[in-house]
Amino acid sequence: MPKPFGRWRRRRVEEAQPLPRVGKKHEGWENDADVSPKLITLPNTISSEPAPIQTSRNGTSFEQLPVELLLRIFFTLDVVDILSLSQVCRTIRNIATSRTIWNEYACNLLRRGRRITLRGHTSLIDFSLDELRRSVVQRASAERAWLQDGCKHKSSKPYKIGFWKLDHEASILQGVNPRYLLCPIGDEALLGWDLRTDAQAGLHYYHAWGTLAASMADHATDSIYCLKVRAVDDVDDELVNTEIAVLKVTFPSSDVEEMQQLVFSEVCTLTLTMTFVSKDCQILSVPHRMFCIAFARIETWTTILQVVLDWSTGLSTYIDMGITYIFGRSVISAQLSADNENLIVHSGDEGGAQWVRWYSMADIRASAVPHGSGATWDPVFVTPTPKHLSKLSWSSEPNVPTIADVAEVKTVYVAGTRWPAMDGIAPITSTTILYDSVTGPVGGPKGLWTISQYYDRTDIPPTPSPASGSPDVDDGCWCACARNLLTLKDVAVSWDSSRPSSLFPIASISFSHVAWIAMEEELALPHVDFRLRKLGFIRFRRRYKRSLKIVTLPDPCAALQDATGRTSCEKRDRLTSGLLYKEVKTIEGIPKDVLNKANRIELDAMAGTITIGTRERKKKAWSTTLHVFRYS
Amino acid sequence: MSTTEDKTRKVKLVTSDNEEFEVDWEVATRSVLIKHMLEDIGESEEQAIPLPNVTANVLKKVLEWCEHHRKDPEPAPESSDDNRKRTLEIGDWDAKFIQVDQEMLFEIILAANYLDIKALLDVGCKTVANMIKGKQPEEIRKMFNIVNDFTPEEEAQIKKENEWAEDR
Repeated sequence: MPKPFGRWRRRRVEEAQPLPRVGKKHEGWENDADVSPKLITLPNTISSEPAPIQTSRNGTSFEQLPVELLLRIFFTLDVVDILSLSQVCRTIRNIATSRTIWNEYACNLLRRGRRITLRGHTSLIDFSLDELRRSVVQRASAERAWLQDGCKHKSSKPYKIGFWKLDHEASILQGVNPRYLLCPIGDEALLGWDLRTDAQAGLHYYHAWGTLAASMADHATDSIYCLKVRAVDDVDDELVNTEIAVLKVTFPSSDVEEMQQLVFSEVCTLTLTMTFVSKDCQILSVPHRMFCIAFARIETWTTILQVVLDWSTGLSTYIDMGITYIFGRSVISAQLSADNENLIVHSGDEGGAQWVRWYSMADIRASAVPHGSGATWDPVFVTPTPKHLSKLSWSSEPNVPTIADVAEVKTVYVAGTRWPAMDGIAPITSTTILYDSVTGPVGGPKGLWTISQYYDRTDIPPTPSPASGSPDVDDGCWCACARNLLTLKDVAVSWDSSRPSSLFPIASISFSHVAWIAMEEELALPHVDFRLRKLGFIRFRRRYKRSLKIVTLPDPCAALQDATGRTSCEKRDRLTSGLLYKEVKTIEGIPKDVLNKANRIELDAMAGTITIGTRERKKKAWSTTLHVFRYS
Repeated sequence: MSTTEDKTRKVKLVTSDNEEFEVDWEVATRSVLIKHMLEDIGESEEQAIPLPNVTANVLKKVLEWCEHHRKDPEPAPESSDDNRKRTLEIGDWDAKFIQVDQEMLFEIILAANYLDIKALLDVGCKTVANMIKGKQPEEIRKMFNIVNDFTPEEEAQIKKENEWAEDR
């Protein structure tokens, strides 16, 4: 967000909140800086140099620099430094506590994909200065804690949620109100948990429902919207239909001290004659009440994208994308553009290539039909021509294998995070994929897990390159220009007893952070079998040491510099070599017992927590315990 | 914009303390202010450009920087501003160049701002930022000779105000 510096001059720091006395004494301080007597005369204690070169002025000192220059300096500093500066003297305090500063820091965090608490607000302007400052400091200190070496967790006590078994396929949700956790329980229910009182705070059964397919937080209403999906038998038609329901989970306000229950309300239910797999649906927008589902068209096995334009009425458009349906790959992510005028669909094809299609929302709305169900219903498929079609290529990064190079990609997690669209913040989407590039034998664990991350800028429509010949296809890499790959060895896995073939890495993605439990082989210590010791047998046993690892992938703004969204290699390397990191860190101090029993972890970069779920058997009954480690 | 003629052209600059500098056009136009002034006066030959806000010793230093950076490409448009916020790295030559006493440092910053030399302004501001980075309030005061003008009550209040931030 380039800002002409002249603007600072006009705005000054009118919203500064000085201490009571400061206002009177220092009114108009920015104009009379040159005549302030007390500050210039002191000798320079720092410089041991011989007499400085004399200037015709009386010398210039730090706090006499014009406000716009001080702001320029302050903007390059960390939040902690600003807090220090605010304690130096009145003049500097006025600047360091001004809205200009905190607005800029808030924007900076947002630009870098760090969400600050926008409780009930849709714009930064609605915040009081104090609220703004508080939010920014909280977020920034959480981030600092992440990136520090050998960061230690602050506290954790075990939260025993009892016999419930966590659902492997859905995330533990947090973030709207950090006091409460929303835990999806294996195919059965959603459980609310109050961390302060360590007690159950609401339970919503969806027994016999399939899974929780998608969720999206709505900070304006302190709630999380979820999509629940299940298969239902249509007895008359002997068909299997799919029922999809939108569930709103309202969190208690953080102002209320007493424990309250989460409120579950089903917003709507739609029955569809198609069967589809839960992973293939996504919420597009809560305020617009839109979601979408991808499934295969039986006759042609092409991918249909059903865009539900308003879930309260079920008004939908069925787009035949004209590409072969592959589960989890034909629609990797779908989202609205920043201006809500386009639907941007990211998909992968059989050859491993990835494509981005832009569909005009106006076209989609024009083809909308009321929702229908039952055997007599005949859906109308439309095949709109995408406004833009671009093939993603990774040409900007040599020596990086493309997805096509990786044999039999098994995508495990796709975390597409839409960076919040706000004034001056480039709407950036980050997609982080964790996949098993070499699947090991079942039971004998781990393959080689790879994280790949890339960014799309949704505000820049691709410009077709003249060289490509076809006007529709842009084969440049207007988006996804920054791709980061990281190979993780020895990721601990867990498996779901009900689905014996599915191994899950104990890992979690949140924004550009990835956390996982690593299993490193320790020295094979001789293990003496007591029964055999007499006979002189010594058996060697492999031992593994578990540890919690975290990595922060580069920020989107660092990767996307120029207007076209292309980043040259050298530029990126320079950026990643400095502040931006691809360095794996170990989080120390997690009890061994917790690590060894862990079968689930959940990272929440927004709240600054890692939740570790452990499961153990006591007196023939299994019980689940959550450990919430806070880093800020 | 620069023609071959410009390359050989000399520019005269007059400082506030009436010292005259003659420099190459290419060096002088590192300053956007001077560049615009030259465009304004056009080809009308040997007119000296007055710089009432800059003293000779500061201008000397600034011109030293301009001389070294005369071949640098035009600064990128403002869009690269995001970058500025995160990197505090300074090139080797610039780091050496900016090793001056504080007073001179601030004078250079002021001059770079006045003369509109963005890259030099960046170097100066980053240097100051690096000085502040990681320091406690008392250390900052000491470094810049700033008098603590808070009353003890105010100081306690401010400290309290920042406690929650440190605590988090």
